[in-house]
Amino acid sequence: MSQVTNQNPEQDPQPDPVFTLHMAAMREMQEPRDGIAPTPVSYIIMCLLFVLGGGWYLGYYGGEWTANGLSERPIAGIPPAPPPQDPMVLGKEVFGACLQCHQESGLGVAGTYPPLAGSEYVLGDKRRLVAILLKGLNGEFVVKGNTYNSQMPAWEIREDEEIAAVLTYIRNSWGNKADAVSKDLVTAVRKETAGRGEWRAATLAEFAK
Amino acid sequence: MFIWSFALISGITMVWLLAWAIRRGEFQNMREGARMIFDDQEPAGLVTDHFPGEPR
Amino acid sequence: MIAQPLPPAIGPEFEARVEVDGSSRAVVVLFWGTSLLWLTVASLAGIISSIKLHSPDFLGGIEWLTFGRIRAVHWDTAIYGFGGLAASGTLLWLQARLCQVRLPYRNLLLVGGVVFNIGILLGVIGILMGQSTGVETLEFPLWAMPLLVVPYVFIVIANFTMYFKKVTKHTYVSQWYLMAVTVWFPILVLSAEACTNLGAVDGVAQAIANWWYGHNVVGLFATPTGIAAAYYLIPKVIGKPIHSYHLSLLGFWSNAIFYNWAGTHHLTGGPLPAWTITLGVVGSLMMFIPVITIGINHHMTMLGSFHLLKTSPTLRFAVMGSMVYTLSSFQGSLEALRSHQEVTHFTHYTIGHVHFGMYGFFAPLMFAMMYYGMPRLMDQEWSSARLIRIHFWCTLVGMLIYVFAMCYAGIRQGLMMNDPAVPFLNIVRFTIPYLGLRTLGGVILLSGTIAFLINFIRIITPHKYTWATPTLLDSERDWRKVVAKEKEQ
Repeated sequence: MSQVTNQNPEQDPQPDPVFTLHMAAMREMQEPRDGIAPTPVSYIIMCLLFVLGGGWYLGYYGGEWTANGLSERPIAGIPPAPPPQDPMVLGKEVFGACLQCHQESGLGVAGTYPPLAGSEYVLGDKRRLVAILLKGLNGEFVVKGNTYNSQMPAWEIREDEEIAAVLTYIRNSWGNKADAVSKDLVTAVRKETAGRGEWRAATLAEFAK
Repeated sequence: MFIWSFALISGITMVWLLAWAIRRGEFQNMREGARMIFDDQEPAGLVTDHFPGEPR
Repeated sequence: MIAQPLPPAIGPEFEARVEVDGSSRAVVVLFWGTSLLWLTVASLAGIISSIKLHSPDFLGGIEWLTFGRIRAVHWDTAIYGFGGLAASGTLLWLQARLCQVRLPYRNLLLVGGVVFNIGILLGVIGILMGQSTGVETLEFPLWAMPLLVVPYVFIVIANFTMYFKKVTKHTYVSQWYLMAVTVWFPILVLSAEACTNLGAVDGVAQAIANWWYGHNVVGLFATPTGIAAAYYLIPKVIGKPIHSYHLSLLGFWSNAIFYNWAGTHHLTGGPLPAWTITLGVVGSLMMFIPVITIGINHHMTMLGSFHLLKTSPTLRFAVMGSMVYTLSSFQGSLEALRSHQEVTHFTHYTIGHVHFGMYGFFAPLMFAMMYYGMPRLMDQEWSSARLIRIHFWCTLVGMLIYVFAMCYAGIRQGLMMNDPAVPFLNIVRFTIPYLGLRTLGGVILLSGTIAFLINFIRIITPHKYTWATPTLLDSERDWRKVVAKEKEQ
């Protein structure tokens, strides 16, 4: 038994090789290790900290806990309205859809598409102008003394804001000078003309008497 | 509805299992629990795995 | 030096263990053996899809091997073929051993094992033919699923039969994990299939169900099996009880409570209610608790026994697995954070993490289980220590190359993608060398698998390449003899 508890096998001049190899394992048996090391306090504190941190994260990024809360951060109070966009800038962007016929110069195509620059319809009654844009215009039509016969498509699908912006843009470009078209006017005219088809020269004149 | 009842049943089952385990004394006598993988032929303190055919 | 055979020292507990091991031999060898075949298939499929990423023309003309199909084959064979079969074999062997009862329903389980393999084979053929469901991790066509589910039911039944017939008084911590797996996994598969492929819910809820499953199949199926293996193997091999049984139970229950919530962190930035994602992130963060608990326990058990890594193949794999478990779980918890995901989401980083977990933690623990179990099941020793060493170093080096390449490339990729000044094509060009490095890592991993497969085939070939006696007997006899000799003197 003496060698089993011997802590220094090196003292033995000729230790049994197998025995030496198993020294470590045999010492292990003497240790008071039972697999019941108690849970350290620091460990419990760590767990609590994790739970606290998790709770904080849950509250901070909870996204208001609604099915529609797609943003993880709670929105404090009323969200600030997006800054109003300059109608001339937005209008120029929207005008990209008009370029092909009315041209970048706003002069149209002689004999086919009427000009916007200096046009009495552009510079005149705003209500009529909005109505043309919303519903489109078909058939013979006189602008600046010239007769045109082509089709202006309806642009109802565009937002009120976009329509107001593009109209403000054409009323203030190529030497045109007139007051801006408001979004509210577009909304009102859209409501007024709901259900109507495209204009003819006659129906438009009737509408904007 | 199905999901709620399923969640409820799962939750109750879990709590019941935990209670069952406690009643059975699974959380007592940890010493025995930790030592149950050893037996008379492979007692604690014995290294039981080596590269084959090599000195240990 | 080979230990000389000695007359066996036989006690009642030893006889019981031999009988238990004998009863599970055919079933467990079938499960483990076929799992290695599927691992080879999965590695091949992974290498093919990896090559396609840096050389898109590779096998480009074969529609069966297009990236969308072969990648699905890679993951599904890895998780069901290798993971499912290796974990089930481990479950049956460990449970029989820990309950000290003979494995019940052996014929049923053998048939089940064969059917499970056929199911995976058919599922793979289905995916290759283009019938993938398109739901990640559940790509197998629906008609193949019963062939996977029904055999698993046999396994669940066998598992509980053993538990309720058990001879031992206590439930060991590994058993907690194994029993939990058999409860969780069927619920996971059935609910996820119902919510995605069977269409019980629509839209965003399907995505949630999909990723709840995708994350949990790793976290509530592979991980508990791996931890169960580590909890058994580390104390058993080094001959020391687990450091703290308290902690091991705490680890189990915190794992059970928190893991389930983590899946939705995969959908960060998606059109989900923000709280579902936040819940996923918090669930992942809470995983620090079980991971630290389990890490402390394994490390403290190992403390003072690290020299055994030189001599024990099982311990090498088991310690590698449990260390990577801690590391990859830390990585995963941090990765779930929104601030982290801003960079790494939708990059190669995630793929690096998955392989770190699967090939750095789960696979080595399954290998360790096989290295420990096979000699005891077959009553003969592994034929070649060199092949074991090749396997170990290939697994370690291949995994490190792979994970380094993917994680580093992923971070750089994410930073560049967040910078609008960098053209997208430059980012793609930047990743190409790392994708090549990934192929290299994959090839090294496959070489290791092949080395293991050779050793495995030799050990199940009856007594052709063998050492005189199984290690499980002679080491102990030597030790006893020495003690007896010392006592006599």
